[in-house]
Amino acid sequence: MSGGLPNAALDVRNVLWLLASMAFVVAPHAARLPPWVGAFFAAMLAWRGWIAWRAGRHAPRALVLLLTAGAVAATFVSYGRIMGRDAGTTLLVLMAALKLLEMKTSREVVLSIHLGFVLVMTNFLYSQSIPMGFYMLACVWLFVATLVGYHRGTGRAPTLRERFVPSGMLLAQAVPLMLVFFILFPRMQGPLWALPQDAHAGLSGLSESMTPGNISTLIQSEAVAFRVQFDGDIPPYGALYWRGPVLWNFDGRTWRMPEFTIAGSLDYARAERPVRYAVTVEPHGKHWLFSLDVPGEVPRGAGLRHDLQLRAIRPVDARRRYDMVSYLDYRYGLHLPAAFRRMALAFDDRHNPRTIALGRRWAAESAGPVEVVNRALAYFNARFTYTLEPPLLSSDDPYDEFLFDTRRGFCEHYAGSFALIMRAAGIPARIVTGYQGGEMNPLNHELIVRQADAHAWVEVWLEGRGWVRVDPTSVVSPTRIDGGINAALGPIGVIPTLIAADRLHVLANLRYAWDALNSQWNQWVLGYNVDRQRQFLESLGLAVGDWKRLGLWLAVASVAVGGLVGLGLVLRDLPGRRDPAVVAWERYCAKLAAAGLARQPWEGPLDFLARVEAAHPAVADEARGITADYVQARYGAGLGRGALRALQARVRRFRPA
Amino acid sequence: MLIDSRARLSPSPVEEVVARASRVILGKERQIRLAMACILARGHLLIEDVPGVGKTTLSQTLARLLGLDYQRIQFTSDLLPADVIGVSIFDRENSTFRFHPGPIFAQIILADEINRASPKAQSALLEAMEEHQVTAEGETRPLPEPFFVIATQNPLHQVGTFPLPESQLDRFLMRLRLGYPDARAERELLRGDERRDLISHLEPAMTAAQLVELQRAVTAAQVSEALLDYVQALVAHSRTSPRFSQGLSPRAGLAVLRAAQAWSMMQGRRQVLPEDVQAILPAVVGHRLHGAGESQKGGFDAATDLLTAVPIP
Repeated sequence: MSGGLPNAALDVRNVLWLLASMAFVVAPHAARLPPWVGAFFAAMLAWRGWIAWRAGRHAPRALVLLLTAGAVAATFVSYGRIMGRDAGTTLLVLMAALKLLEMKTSREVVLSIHLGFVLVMTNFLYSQSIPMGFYMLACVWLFVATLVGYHRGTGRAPTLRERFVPSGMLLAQAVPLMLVFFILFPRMQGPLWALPQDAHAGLSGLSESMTPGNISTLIQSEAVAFRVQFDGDIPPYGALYWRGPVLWNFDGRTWRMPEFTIAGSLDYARAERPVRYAVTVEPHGKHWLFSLDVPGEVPRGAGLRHDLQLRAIRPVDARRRYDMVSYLDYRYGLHLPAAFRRMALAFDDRHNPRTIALGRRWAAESAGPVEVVNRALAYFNARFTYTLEPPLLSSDDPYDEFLFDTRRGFCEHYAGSFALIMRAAGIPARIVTGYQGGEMNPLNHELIVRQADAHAWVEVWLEGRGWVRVDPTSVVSPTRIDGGINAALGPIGVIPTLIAADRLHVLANLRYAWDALNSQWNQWVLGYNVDRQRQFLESLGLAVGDWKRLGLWLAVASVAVGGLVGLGLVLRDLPGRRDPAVVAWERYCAKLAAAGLARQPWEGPLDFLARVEAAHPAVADEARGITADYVQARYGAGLGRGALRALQARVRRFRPA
Repeated sequence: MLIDSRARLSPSPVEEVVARASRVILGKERQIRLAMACILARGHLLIEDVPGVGKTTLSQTLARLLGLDYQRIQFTSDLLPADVIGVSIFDRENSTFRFHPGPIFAQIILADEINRASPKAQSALLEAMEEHQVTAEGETRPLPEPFFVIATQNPLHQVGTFPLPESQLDRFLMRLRLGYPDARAERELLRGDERRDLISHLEPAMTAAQLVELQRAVTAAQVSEALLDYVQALVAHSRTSPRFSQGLSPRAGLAVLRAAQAWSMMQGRRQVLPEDVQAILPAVVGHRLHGAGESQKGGFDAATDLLTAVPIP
C-alpha cells in the first residue's frame, strides 16, 4: 500500500480474514492432494499475510508469472494431465493462492472472495457426507463474513458478532430460495455432472474374481455396501443371501466370471414367498447389483444374466436405489444346456491333485450326487476351523494345502474347495459371491449390509432340482450365517470393540441413529433424482411434465419465495411495527373520539387523560387504569404478557358514554 | 400509581424550593419549575426579558434556596476577562505572583446583562461554562461543583447590546422569558414587602450535596424507545420542514432529553413521557430554532409550531 489513497479493501484485517477463510476452505484438501500443493498454498498465504501485515512490497509481476507457469508445470508433472478431479482441484487451489498474492485492488479482493466460493464446491467432489455439508456451510458463512468486513471499510474493526450475525442473516434469507432450487431445479437422469474418472479410485467391494484371501480383506471394512428397506416382514436372517457376481471359470487357484454374457430369464419352475424391498447401493464402480436369492424382476437400467446375476448397464458410479422382488422359495435351471454343463464341470487337473482325487473317490463310493454333497459337508463340519486369518496358501495347489494341511479358512476357502470337489465328482458347480446377512437398524428398520458381510457360497446343479445353493461355511461355523460376522469372530476393528464394551447400547444406538440419518440424507438429498423429484412433487399435487414445465414452476416459485422474503424484510424494517399496547391505546382513543373527545395527534397520554376526566367523569377510573398501563407499556419498563392481556380486555370493555 | 405520585413527592426539597421561590416571585411558578429542571439537568440558564420583571430576583432567590455559594457579575461594555476570571498580583513579601480568583469561582454565578459586555468578556464566561474550568496565566484551575450560570439578557433590539452568537447560545440548556406578572400578582407585588428583604431572609431548602445527588438521579429516569422515537421525530421534523430556517442540532436533541428527564423526576415519575418533552421543549429549543419565511417567528412560537406539527409516535 505504498502511495496513493489508503485502500479500505486491502486493510490488513480484511486481507488476514480472507487468508484465514481460504486456509479453512482448502484445509480438507491437504490430505487429498500431494503434499507439495499444501506447502505451496501455505507459503503463498504466509507471504501475502506478511505483505499485508508489514505493508511490504508486492511480489514483482514477473515472479508471479513465473510461479504461475511453475504451478501449471508441477501439476502436469504430478498427474500427467491438467484435467480430471485431482489435477483440476490442484490447479484451482494453486491459482487461488497466486491470485491472493497479486491482489492489489478492491476488485481483486471481491474476485478472490468469489474464487473462495468456487473452492468450497471442490470439496463436494471428494465427499458428499453430512459433516462435509456442514463444513461447506461453515466455509460459505466465513466467506460471507469476510465480505461483510470488506464492505465495512476502514475505521473500527467489526467485532466477530458484527461479522457473523449479518452474514448469518444473509444466509438464512437465502435458505427459502435454496430449497426452491433444490426441489424444483430440473434433474437429469444420472448424476448432475459426470464425476471425472478418477473420482472413484479406492472404492471397495467385490471383484470379478476370487482367490483364497481376497474376501477377508473386505471383511475388515465397516463401510456400507448397501441398505435395504423391506416392504413388510423381514425374512429370517439365515435366508439373507445377497446375490452378486457368479464365478464359473477356475484355473486352479482363482475363480473368475466368464467373459461372455447370455441373457437370462425370470421363468422359474417354482417361485413362492415373494419378498419386496428397495436397495440403495453405495457406488462401487462395477456393474453388478444385489438382490436376495433369487431375483424376481429386473430393475430399470439393468439386465439379467443366465446365472441370475443382475448387471447395471452403466457402472454403479453414484449411489443408486432400485425396487426389487425376490423369491425365497424357488426352483430354477432344471434344464442345463450342454455348454453350461461343460463350463460348470471344467477344472485344470494339473493343480490340486489330492482334492480332485478326493472328489473322484467320493463319486465312486456314493450312490448319487446328493450323497457326495452331504459327505463333503460332513467332512468340512468334522475337521475345519473358521478363521479370518488363515495361514498363507502359496503353493500351486492351494486347495490341496487347505483341505489336507492347514484346515483353517474362511468362506472363500470353503466355497472354492467345495466347488472343486463337486466338479471333480462330476457334479456341476459354481461359486456365487455377494453378501450374507446384514445389520438391522432398529430406528428406521433398515437393513445395513456392510463390506464385512461379504460372503461366497456354492451352487450345485442336481438333476430334477436345478441349481441348489450349498453353503459349506454354514456347516463349519453356523453362527456366521445365523448371527453375522461379529457373532462368528467376535468384534472386529476399533468401533465394534467399543460397541461390544457398551453395555447400555448408547454407542450402538448412536451409531444406528447416525446411519438412519445418513440413509435419509442419501435418499432425499444426494439421491434426489428425476424419479424422486417426480414422486415428491406429485405427492404435493404438482403435475410435472417435462423439464420445461418444471422450469416454469421453478421460475414461479423463485419469484414467489423471493418476493415473500423481500416483503418480510420490508415489513420488518417499516417504522413502528405495531406494538400491541399501541393498538389497544388507539382503540381506546377511537372509542373516545366516537364519544366526541378526539385526542390530538401530538397530545400525550396524561394530558389526554386530564381532558377525559373532565369530559367523562363516569369512566375516569377506567381511563386512569388504561392510561397507567399504556404509559407503563410504552414509556416504562413494559408490561408482562398477562398485564398486556388485561389492558386489552379493559380497552374492550371500555364504554365512554 | 404513577399518576397520583405527583402529590407524594411534594415535601421533597425540590418542591420546597419551588414553593418558597413562588412566595418571592409571584405568579411565575412555571418559570421557577423550568429553572429548577435546568439546574437538575446540569444546564446553564439564560433569562431574557425587558428590565424590571424580576430576572435578578429569580436568580438570587434560587441561589439562596439551593444553599449555594453565589457571585454576581454585572456585565458592562468595559468589563475585561480578568474581571471575571481573576488576576495574579505580585506579592512583595514573598516575591511571587499570587492569584486572586475572580467572581467566577463560585457555585452559582449570576451573569447580569450578559449581552452588554464585549464579545471578549462574554467568551471568558462561556468558556468556563463549557469546560467547568478556567485557564489564567497558563494555569488551569477547576471550578467548584456544582457550577451553574444564570445569565440574564435584555431583548436584542435594545440599545447597546452585543448579541450572543448562536454557537454560544447553544451552551445554555434553556432560555426563559419571565413576562409581565398578571394583574393579581402585580397587585400583590405592589402591596407587599420589599423583595430584597424577602430574599435576605430566605433559608436554604437543600444542601449542595443534596443537589448533586438529585442531579445524578435525573440520568436514571427511564427513557423508552418510544420516547426516543418521539424526540427523534421532533428533531427530524425541525430539519426537514420548510417552516424552520435551521434544524435542531444533535446537542439540542440531547438537551431536550436531559431536560425532559429532569422534568419527569420533578413530576415524581420514573419514566419520561411525551408530556415532559412538551413541557420543556419551548424553553430548550426556543433559542436554537427560528421560523423561516415571511413569518420569522421567534423561538417560542416556532417551538410551539414544532410541537403541534409532530404526532406522538
